Amino acid sequence: MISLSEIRVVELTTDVAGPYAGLLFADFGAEVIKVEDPQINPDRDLPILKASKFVAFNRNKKSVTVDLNREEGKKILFKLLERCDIFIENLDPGIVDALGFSYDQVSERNPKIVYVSIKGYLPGPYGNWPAIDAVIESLSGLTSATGEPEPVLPNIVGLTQGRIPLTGHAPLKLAQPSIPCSAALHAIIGAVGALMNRDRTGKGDKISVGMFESGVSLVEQHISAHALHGTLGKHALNLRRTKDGWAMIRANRWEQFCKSFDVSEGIQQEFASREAREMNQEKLELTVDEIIGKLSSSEVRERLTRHGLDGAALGTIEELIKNEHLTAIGNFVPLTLDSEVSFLDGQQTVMSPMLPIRASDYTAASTKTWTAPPKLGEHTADLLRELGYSNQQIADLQKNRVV
Amino acid sequence: MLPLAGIRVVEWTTAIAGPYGGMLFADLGAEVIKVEGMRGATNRLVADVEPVIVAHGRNRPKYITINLRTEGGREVIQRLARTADIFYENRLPGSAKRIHCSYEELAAVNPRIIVASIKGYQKGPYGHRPGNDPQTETDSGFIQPQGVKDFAHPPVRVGTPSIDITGAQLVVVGAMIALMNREKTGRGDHITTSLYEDNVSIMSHHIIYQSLYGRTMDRAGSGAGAARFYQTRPETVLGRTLGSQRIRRWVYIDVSSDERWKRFCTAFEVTVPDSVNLTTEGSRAKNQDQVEEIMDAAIAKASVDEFMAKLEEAGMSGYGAPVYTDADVLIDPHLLATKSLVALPTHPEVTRRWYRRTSVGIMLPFRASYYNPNLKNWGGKPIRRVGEDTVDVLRDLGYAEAKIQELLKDKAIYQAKEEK
Repeated sequence: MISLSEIRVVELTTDVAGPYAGLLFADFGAEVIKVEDPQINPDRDLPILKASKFVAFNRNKKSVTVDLNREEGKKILFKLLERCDIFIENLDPGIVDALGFSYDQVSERNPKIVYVSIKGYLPGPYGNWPAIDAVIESLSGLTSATGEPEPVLPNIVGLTQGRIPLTGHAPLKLAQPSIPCSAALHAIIGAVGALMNRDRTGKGDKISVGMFESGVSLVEQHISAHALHGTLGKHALNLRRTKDGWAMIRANRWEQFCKSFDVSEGIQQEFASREAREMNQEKLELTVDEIIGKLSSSEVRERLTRHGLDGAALGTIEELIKNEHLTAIGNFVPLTLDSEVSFLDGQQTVMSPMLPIRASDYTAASTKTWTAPPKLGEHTADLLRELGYSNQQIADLQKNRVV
Repeated sequence: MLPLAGIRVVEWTTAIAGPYGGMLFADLGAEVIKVEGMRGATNRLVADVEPVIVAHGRNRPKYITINLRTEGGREVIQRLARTADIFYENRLPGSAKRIHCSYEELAAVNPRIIVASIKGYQKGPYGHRPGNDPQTETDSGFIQPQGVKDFAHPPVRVGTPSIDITGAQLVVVGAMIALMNREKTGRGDHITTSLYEDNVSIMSHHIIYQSLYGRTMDRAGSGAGAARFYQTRPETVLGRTLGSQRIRRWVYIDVSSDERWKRFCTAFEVTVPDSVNLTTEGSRAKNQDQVEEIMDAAIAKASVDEFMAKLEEAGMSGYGAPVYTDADVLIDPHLLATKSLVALPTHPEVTRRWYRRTSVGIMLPFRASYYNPNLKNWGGKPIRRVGEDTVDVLRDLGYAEAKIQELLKDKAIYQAKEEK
């Protein structure tokens, strides 16, 4: 079983990138301690999302509250950092340094530490910018690559120059945190690399990750294409309407498409040759739209599966939670949330998806104890005791609101 | 020292997830030997994806070509795979078994081997299905919340195979941890990541939201009010063939907090009419239409450069930016200053003849103090040609010269011609 069970991680993180990096370590069996402010924790109660982002990315972790603006609080975090292998932070640029926890200050006390810093941008001209998702998506080229397809136009190269204005709608934000998650994965790749080096050299390292640079890495093939032949890519093919939803269907393997969807002889003949399909692209698309539009999503799904055709009907999240495959492989772990975490009355049970990785003898759900996202400061007293604080000292710290 | 120095990876991959992971292994210092089929990897055949080969094919020291339909060819890949620390593949379910390179078969000979696989689905009811990025992002509902807010519009796919890439990243993480564990246990492992389940993991907070509130989140759309995309003043853009065009470019801006709204009004010389109160975040949320009208008018007066200059003057750099095309990314001052872009020479046999001879590669987006995850083998060498190192690798494996000639004659392997 692949495991990081001897590793201790301390995280000072917010939003998605930092917590997802911590989650990766936690799911691989490391002990992950989340350091939070005793009073202000906007992540736990975002206006629209409420607890859902916090719950999604903070399972299997411990929570310790420490007021880092106070000297006693700083002392506690330093003690913790002296006893850990990895420190992850993704606060706005300059904040951790101002608190007195820069890499130089931390590595002086613990030279073996691997210090991971995830920011919007790597140090450089934009190094001090805050990390705003849609700004990073815009600058990385991902926004211009994402959108409804351009109207079918005569195939003149120059027209693609104005790719965005031609789409007829404003650019779109990404719905899913693909860039922060990818940045978090780069962070753990860098950090595990540093751990491997540490086994040889005895020295830690500082890993800096840029979310903007991670975004650019996601679109590397588009950048490479532009560098090679100068044209700009097109938006991906549209989804087509089904009777009750949407489906992603390409008709590029025409004969197989016709067989799978019982296309009438007449239409089949009309577009039989490649030339005919290329010359009448718009009509072909409309014809396929019409064929798919007469079927329900489940019929489309059934035909695609039966004939092994490339394509898919759009799933919904309600369906996903009940999906037969995911249920059979135990992909969702039920986590029972305290009402303090969920902001809802009573105990709530949510289905938390596991990481998409398995090892040969790794059956995560059964071999591992899964814990729900912690209550604020749930593990403070335990940890302070471990750091050598007496019960009296802990009570004093609590009274003075340091923890 | 690079963390994977001294590690040998045998890569048998295709599409995008495979080569991206191979690039990560290579950039981190591993010796990556890429195995391709007789006519090159699928990538090299399908139109328009040579850029992938160039973008993700860097730093691999060796490319060999084997005909896996022949007995002799299959024997070559088996012998090669057994010498690997990591055998890395993303072929269809069952393919590795067909060439006798499944984990069980390889581990029987070399118990220290780590097999790293990327599949469409994990083992289970859908385990036999092929899966790719567009299919799984639709199937899982990953893109359901993405698109124009009005649900009459279709959901929109992500403009890049992000799932391929995050799936590849995770398999590399798994393989690295397995290498660390191997130091202690002496045993390898079989690591599998999957695209479908990767969608499910990254969309976690949508699933939690559904579990908690019993409803689906709204579409992300283009933002609203003070955090939204707006258009700038029309600018003349040089077209490639049709001459110049006047285009209004899009920018994104987020001035939702009270402080930033105040600064925005000053910087863009906005006067809010007395009839409406927009001083607090709450009041602006209530009067979103007015906010959008005001911001639209203000931003439409500025060019992209003026827009960025105004943000900087107002101390709001990073709270807004133009929507970059691929061409803009290539000349971004920050990427140039952080040396994130590097020239990648290509070879006329690798890309089409009319393409430029140099492409641009993106460095890995992280930096370390004690190792440089990027600069192993750059140094101006072009990407390897199909089958450039076949005979070399066979010699290393201990094949006799006569046997190599026989395999060449039987078309079980292919060696690229020597360059003049």
